[in-house]
Amino acid sequence: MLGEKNIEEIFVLLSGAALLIAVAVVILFYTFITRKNKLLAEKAVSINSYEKKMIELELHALRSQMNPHFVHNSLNAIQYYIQLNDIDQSENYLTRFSKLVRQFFEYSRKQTIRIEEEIDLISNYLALEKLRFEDKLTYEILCDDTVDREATIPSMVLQPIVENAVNHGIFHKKTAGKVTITFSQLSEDSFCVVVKDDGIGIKQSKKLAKNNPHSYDSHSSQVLDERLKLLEQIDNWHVEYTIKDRAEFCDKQGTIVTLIFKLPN
Amino acid sequence: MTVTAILIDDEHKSLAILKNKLQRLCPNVKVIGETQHPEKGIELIETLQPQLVFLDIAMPNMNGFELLQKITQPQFEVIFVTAFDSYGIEAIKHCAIGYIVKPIDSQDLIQAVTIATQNISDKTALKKNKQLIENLGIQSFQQKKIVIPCQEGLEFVKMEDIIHCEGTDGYTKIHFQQQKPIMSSYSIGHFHKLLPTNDFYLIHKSHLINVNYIEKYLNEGYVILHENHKLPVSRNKRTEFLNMIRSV
Repeated sequence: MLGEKNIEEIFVLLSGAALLIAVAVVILFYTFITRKNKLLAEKAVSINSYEKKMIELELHALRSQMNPHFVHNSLNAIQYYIQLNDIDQSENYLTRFSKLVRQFFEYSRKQTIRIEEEIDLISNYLALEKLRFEDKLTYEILCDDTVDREATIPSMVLQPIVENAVNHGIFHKKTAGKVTITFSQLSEDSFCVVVKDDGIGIKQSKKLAKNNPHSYDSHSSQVLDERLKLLEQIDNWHVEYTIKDRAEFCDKQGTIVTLIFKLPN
Repeated sequence: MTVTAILIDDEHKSLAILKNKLQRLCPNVKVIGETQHPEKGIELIETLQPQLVFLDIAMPNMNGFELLQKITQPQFEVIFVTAFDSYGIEAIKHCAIGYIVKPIDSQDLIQAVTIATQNISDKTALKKNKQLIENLGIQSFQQKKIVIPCQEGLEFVKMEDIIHCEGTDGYTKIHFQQQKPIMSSYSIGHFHKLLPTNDFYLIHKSHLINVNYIEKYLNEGYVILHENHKLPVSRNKRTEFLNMIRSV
């Protein structure tokens, strides 16, 4: 009898101890896992912010590229008016150019700018190109009343596209050309910008660029592609970018670029 | 010496600037034709046979290089006029052809015209122009030839054949693998700028070497080049130089 009772007690004690050990192991395991997860999460956050920082830096570098062709051609035109002793035109050109350079510096430091500012930059840029191309270039900037001009968009996205329209489309065209830029609101959180020209078209322009593979121009569209990709990655903006040769879908000549900006949530 | 010239640039403003500057600064240049259209430029060159052509690079439909390629015997001196084109300028420099940038600086223009005027009496333009056209068609850097003016005329040498450039009193002696060395009146600094930095390293103020020919480096600060050329490496360049060799 006694022996049986003893065995029972020992059994209870032993199973109690086993249970205790099991609970302790579970608790230890649990704390270990949570600690590990916490550490991993902290690490992930720091990697994320580091990567984000890298991307921001890259974006900055990509924004701040002013086309050296444009700079030197503008200065060349100023030299022309100086030689002619045309003081008004020399000053006009010089101050416009200086204003544009200032805008470039200011906006390239910012991630986003107001639509109003973007329109101002582009019209200033086109006015300068007009001084160079004279009758060969006309332009129009249209903005729907529904567009909120105070809303912001990523900076320095449109200017390179307009520059391509002038330098690839109109430059190689034998007769006068026109660039039209239209801003329109699609829905509450998305709007669209269309850059249209009646130049030689992207197909012909690419053919010409092939003969001169190392020229500066060939990488300006690459810079834009990279920027749009990075903007998406940094999770701020979704920008849809399509480029079409107008000859493919109507009987007109030229290139049409459509950008759809979807606001970040 | 009077020199006949044609100006080709798609912008009338650039033509006007150049013409005005030439009249004021280079009275020996007689402008016999000018055009905004590259096709017309070819016609003018063939009919008027100028001694000198001022040629813009970026033009609609046909750039300056393409224009030059279309002329069967480009016997004239060329001075390229360009707003900005780093790729083009490299190629032009390699062939000792003149160029000026816009907006045009008066001193640069005078210098380019003076050199071109001297060259016209030497009649070396055709060879240089043809070399430029050939180089523009070659992809690999080493295969390209550079043009080196020296006492007897011009030397056309492949970059990869140059072992070592040695500076002496403003002149440069260039050593090759096969042929005899040549003397150039250009300074060593000129070659340092001209030759690609991936292959050519200035180990000393008067020694520019092709790193592909290095056979040995001695700890006391010397390199042994192909065929037992022993050359000193400047003390302040040793660390950078060793790092560079290790990465090759």
